[in-house]
Amino acid sequence: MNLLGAVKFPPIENVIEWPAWLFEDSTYFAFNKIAFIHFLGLVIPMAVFLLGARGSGLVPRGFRTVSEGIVTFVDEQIAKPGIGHGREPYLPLLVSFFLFIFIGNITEVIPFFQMPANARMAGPLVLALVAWGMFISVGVRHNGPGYFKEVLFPPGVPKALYLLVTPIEFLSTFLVRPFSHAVRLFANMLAGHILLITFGVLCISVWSASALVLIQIGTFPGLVAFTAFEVGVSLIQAFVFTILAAVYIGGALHPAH
Amino acid sequence: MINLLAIVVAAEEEAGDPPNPVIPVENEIVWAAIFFFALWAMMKFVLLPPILRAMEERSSTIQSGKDAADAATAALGSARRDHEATLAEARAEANAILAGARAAADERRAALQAEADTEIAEMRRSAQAEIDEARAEALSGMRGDVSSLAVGAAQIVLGRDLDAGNQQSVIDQALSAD
Amino acid sequence: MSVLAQIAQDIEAADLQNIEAAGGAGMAYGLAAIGPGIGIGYLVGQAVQAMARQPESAGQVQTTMFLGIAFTEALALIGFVVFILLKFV
Repeated sequence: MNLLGAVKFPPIENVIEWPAWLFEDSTYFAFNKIAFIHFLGLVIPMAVFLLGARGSGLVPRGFRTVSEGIVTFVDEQIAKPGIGHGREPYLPLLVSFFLFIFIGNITEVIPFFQMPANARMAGPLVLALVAWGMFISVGVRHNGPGYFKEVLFPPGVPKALYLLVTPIEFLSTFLVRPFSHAVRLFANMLAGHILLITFGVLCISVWSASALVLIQIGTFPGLVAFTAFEVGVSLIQAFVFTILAAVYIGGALHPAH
Repeated sequence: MINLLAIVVAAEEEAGDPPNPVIPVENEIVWAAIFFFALWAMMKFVLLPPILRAMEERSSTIQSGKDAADAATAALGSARRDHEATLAEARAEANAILAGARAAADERRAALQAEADTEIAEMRRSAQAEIDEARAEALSGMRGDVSSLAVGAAQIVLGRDLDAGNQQSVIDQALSAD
Repeated sequence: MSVLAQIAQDIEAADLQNIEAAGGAGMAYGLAAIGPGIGIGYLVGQAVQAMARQPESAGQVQTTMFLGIAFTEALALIGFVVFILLKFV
């Protein structure tokens, strides 16, 4: 960075940590920008669905079209391939996942936010733990304690191999799964955020009016292109997180396949 | 080497506790959990049911409309089948009537033909009989006439009386020779 | 030993840590990106082939492809997290 003279990458804590707006003294309830984005993740779906619930349902229009489109998308593209039959009880969870994550992601490219809430580990961790608790409870509720036996001692494996298979299955299903589930979302959004910051920092020389304005030729189109790319990444990461949750729940619901 | 490591350790101790971007922060966890569980609960009990109900209603309306259309199509089909059956029945009846009439006509024609045939045969037979009778009559008449004529002619030729009775057998012989 | 000690006296501790961290971080992320790069390329190539052969099942293939990308990408992302940890912590 020193080669670029005036251009200096800001310290990481300056671009992902935000001061509290409310309850500054509290460790557990300090309300900052991240919390506000999560708050929007609650309020915006509520507004869309409540407005969509009004009016007659025979010919959808306006907010009803939006909310029904979201529900249909989650049902057809996520719940059906992930869970299959018996997916109705999990539709609210999946729709919540999708909308909450999507709103937490898309603030990455919205002016005045410019920060994906999911680039902080907190949100993805909570969501991944919810998905983890959900699939374990679904497995136990539908298959009894035999669910653990089914997972840890998969049928059709020679007895001696259980020495190898059981620890691996235990690690991958019950320990690594929530971790990778959360890190996938978190790291994607953090990487995107840092990418946009890098291009933004490289573009800042237009304000300092130095010779560095020449690198604008390369960096400004890059900033625009990566902003568009991050819109796609926001959608795809919300989709991927939700479909993985659906696949985990589906695997616990029908462990035979 | 040990010095280097010592320097690194010292530097870390000097820098204090820098914020780790990977470790989650308590307040954000709390707020994310609060808002997500609120959204989940709202979605489950308030937001999603009316939407799903409306979609269900619409699909059931569409389904019932489709069922009604299917039923109407089926009714149309059965009506058309009935109609066709009636038509076929009428056609068969007409054919039967026609065939009956034709058969009656044939029968009648055959009867008339037979009657005419017998009549013609009868007439022919009677005409034949009449002819035969007339011929026999003519022959017998002609026999007497011819014999007297022949006897007369022979008397004139011979210049003497001929006993007609004696010559009768000769004349008969000549006549029957033809 | 004495040469090393001389060098150690010349450079500041913070600089040394930064150099080590930057080198290690770049190495970690570069290595972590190799496998997933190959994997995602292969995966998407096969998915495109499948979609070209059976366009009617494109939707299903696409869903599965995104799932596969998500799993493959996880390795690169863990490498990225290691990068962050090495570079900024």
